[in-house]
Amino acid sequence: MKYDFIIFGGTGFQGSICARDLLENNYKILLVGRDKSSISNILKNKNASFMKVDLTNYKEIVSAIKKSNPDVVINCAELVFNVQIMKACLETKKPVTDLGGLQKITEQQFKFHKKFQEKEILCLTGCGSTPGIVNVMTAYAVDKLDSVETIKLGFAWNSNIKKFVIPYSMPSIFHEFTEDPVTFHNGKFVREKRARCVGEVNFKEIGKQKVYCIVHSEVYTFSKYFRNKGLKNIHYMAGFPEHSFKVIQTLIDLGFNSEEEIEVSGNKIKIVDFTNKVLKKIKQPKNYREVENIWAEIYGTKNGKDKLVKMNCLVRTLKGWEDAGSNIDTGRTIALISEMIKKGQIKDKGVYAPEAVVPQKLFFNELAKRKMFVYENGKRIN
Amino acid sequence: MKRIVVLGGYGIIGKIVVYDLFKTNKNCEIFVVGRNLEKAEEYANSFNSPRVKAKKTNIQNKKELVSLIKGSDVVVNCVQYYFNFEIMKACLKAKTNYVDLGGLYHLTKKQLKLHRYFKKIKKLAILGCGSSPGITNVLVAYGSKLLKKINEIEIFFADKDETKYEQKFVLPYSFKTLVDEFTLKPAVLKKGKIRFVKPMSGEKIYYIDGFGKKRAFLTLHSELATLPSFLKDKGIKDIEFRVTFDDDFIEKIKILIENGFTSKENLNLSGQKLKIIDVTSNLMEKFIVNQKTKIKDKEILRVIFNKGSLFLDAITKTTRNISAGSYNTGVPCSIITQMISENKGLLKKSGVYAPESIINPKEFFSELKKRGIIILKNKKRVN
Repeated sequence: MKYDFIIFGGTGFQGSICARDLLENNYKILLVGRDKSSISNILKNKNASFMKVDLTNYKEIVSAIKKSNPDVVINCAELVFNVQIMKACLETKKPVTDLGGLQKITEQQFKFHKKFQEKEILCLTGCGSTPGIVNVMTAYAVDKLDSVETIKLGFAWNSNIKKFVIPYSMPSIFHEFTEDPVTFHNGKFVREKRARCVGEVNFKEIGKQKVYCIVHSEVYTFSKYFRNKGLKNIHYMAGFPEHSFKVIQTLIDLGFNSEEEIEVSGNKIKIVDFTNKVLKKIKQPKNYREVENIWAEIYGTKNGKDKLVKMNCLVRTLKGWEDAGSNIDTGRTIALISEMIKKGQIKDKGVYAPEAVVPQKLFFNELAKRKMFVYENGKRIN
Repeated sequence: MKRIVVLGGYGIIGKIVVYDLFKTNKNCEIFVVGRNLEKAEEYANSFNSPRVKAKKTNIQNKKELVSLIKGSDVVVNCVQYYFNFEIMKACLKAKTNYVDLGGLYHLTKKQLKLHRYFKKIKKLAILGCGSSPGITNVLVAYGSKLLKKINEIEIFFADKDETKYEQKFVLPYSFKTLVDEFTLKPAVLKKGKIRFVKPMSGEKIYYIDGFGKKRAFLTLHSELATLPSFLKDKGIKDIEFRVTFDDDFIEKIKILIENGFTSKENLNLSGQKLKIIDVTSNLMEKFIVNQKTKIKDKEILRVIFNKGSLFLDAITKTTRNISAGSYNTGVPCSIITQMISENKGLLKKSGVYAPESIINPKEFFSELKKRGIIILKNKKRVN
């Protein structure tokens, strides 16, 4: 059976959002995961099928891609599987998109650039909101300037009801808050102290929020693509509302993010898996709404004068997509970028991040169709 | 030679009870009992004495338990309070005396109903023999001798911890009991009637000399199960019990509760169904203080009578590197056990009682004094 797309991690949060977007555009998709119980609604659609695959088994990945023969492989699984899935795509000669690999795994992924060029296929890494939307917005601003010295970027979000709801992948959040982040400072990579608070910022639509310096892939990819414009400093800042941050910090303080196993009445349990499962039981309160602001500030010069370009993408809980909250900006973005690849709108071959190859105007238009609006210095441009 | 059986004898409190019995009473042999024989042996052997023996039992197996406790003088129950009632029934069968650390109100009420059965076998059961319930109840008994009328009582305890911990969090006692204190509806006596109010309500700030400012809230405690009837003739109308914790501690426990980590639901984990609270409780065990840590803390138990016209304090400091809050729970349990086995300082001979209606305060306080726990009446020493 021939499919348009295969989605690894298709039973997860982002994977199922991505699937829904593609199904609404009438594509045939194969969702891959461990347990289909979470996607029973999606599987009611005749264009959607499920296949059980163990991602720790490379052969199973290859065989799933061969069987479904998709135009594009979409990887919404946890980032530890990125390299494994890329290798399978090299073997099967299929283009692949993913949601990013923070710093370490992103670096590993770029080592495959030549191999992907040789096989003439594309791997586009970091196709969600951040990395993803923020990369294309930054490229748009950088293109307008003669030189760029500093880029500050990140995300901030809040909800109308101050109750903890999983913001996005808990394993990723735990990684971000426990790994020592690397910033780009005066043209050099500098290791910072983990998730330290770097101040308060007033965000459009969100208000004042504390921001934390965390590890993220953009620091690595921006330094690679924008260095020729004189780029010296990149600072990534995550903004969590206090009610959400406190829960994450407490769980880390109490060791609930640990990768270790414990024994409970004779059974071995990985602590972080337990934590993840308990948190997944939390339901959104009634009328819960989120708003997210993905932002970048690009400091540089134009015609010899200092110039600052502020980019924002504002995303709100969307009618009909309430359960996804502001996560539509991740799951739906990887869907639309993968669709652009299928349509031949991105022709480059090799391993890239979105800022290098995604056509900006076309991309912003697709975002607008999904009610994700992009602002340049406060003015909407899509 | 008397025989004392300590169930949960290698637990946090059980250990203290065993040690105190061993050191202060040469006339008894002690069984250290639990599920895990290795742990029981390890602790029993540390005394290097034929008087302390390790025994294995599953307390949920009544037959096994009855045969183990048969012939002993006192059974001291230091396991999670959920098993109190079943253990008492085993004591009835084996015809032994019984002592425990409290049943968090509801269970205490149920346990008191066994009064006539213990009378029948001519044995004693004393409920709630730790610090609170325990010392607090005896403080009330002492106060009731000093005052003609008691309209109102307020009880709380507070800790001051100056230990330099390496861990980010310290679990003071059983996680499950802690969760119960945060989530079960507190009982208060209001205008002479027991009422159940919202968990963690009735917030109050106490300023205590030597302990500083403490945030307190109402909590369910056994004292409320027995003090109203004890003080009925004194005209009692209102009783409130509060716990105090540091803000940061309260916030962390609340986060675990609010986000489902203390749920009694089952979760499918590695192919097995496990109760969420059991896994969390297991994870939290690592925050029991490491024995190598040098502890420096103190605890105050305070009973305030008639809006402060009289207040009685019991103050405990770290002893043998055991935190004050654990030490003052284990020690009274050992003292009361010996009062039974040696038949001294008791007002009655058989039945089920809370400490206030059976313990002679003066004798109890003098035993506390020997162990470094001091009693103050309006800030003046009385022991």
